[in-house]
Amino acid sequence: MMVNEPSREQIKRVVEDCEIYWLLKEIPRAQVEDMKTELERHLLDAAADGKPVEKVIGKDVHAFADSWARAVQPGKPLIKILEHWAYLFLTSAMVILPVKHIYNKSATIPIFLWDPVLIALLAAAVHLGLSPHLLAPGKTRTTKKWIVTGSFWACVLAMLAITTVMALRKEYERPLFLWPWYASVGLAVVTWLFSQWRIRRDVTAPLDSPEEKRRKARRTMGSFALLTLFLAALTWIWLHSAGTVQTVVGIFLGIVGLLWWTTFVTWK
Amino acid sequence: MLLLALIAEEPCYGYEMVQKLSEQGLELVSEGSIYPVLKRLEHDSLIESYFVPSEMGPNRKYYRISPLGKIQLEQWKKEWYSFSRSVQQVLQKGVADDDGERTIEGTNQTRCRRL
Repeated sequence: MMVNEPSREQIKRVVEDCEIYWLLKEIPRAQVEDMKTELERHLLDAAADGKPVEKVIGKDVHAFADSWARAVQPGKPLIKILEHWAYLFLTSAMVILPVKHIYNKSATIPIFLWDPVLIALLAAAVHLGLSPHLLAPGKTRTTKKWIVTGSFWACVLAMLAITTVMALRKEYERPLFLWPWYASVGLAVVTWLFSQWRIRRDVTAPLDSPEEKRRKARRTMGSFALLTLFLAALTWIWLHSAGTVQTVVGIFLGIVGLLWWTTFVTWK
Repeated sequence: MLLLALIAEEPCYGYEMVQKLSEQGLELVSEGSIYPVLKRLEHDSLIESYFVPSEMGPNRKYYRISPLGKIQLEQWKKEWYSFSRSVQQVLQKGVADDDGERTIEGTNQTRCRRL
């Protein structure tokens, strides 16, 4: 019996959902590919016999993906958990600190008690938003939507955290210490090195051919160059403008800066 | 143990195992639940897996039993036979007792009617 197109489409969606779940659980890419092939084969065989997808995976696709993931990877070592959080803290700090430098228009910035709290909350928001367990599962049906939903929730939580901290900051006006520009540069270098180290050891990275890798590298280089030019132009406008224009340009500057930083940190 | 026993008969793939279980009257609520079990068996080196190219669709992953798996299966079989014997004895004793009680009850009722 042949498998019809709607069934094939449903099978594709289920396999994609499971794939992203397993990758977010940091199961090595090669293993994920094997699991995907095995699952797809089973679903196609079942569909050819007239069985619905639910007969294979049950009612909850994420519960199914999770039970398989737990069999593959029973637990995460403490060192991996620490590494994950250290990376989140560093990247969050590299979002907050440059914003403070720009906001204060100063090479040396005062660090208040709420700054580390803000960094911690931002890290937690990103973790929560992109976690395979918490907000993302069950809300969407496709890989891309899942990532977008996760990022959306991360942004919402981060904004909530920032608003709360900013509202409470009046209570803690006394700076803890002064943070010089070279400390920010040093931290940026450390974050970049840490990120490169993680990327090289990333077991979930796509198994691309050398040609594909070169193509992606060229694309990243193009995006990075474009973003750098845009960032420089926006910074110049921001420095030479005032009032509402400066605020609007400042918001754009923040968004472009974040994209620039993300591209820089995740560069392979 | 059932999956290991099926694989011990001959190398087979996931869907084939589900079908074999179904033929024996063992329907699974969720067919995919066999995969975490297979992964654990593989993790414990009781089975080995390999892909076989397929002309239609994705390749099939076959599982075969390992020497360690054969030893473990024998062990599990012994445990199961011993367990099922004990359960059977308890159940048979229960049935015998039930029959006995029913006979006594029946006799009493006949006596009452006679009276």
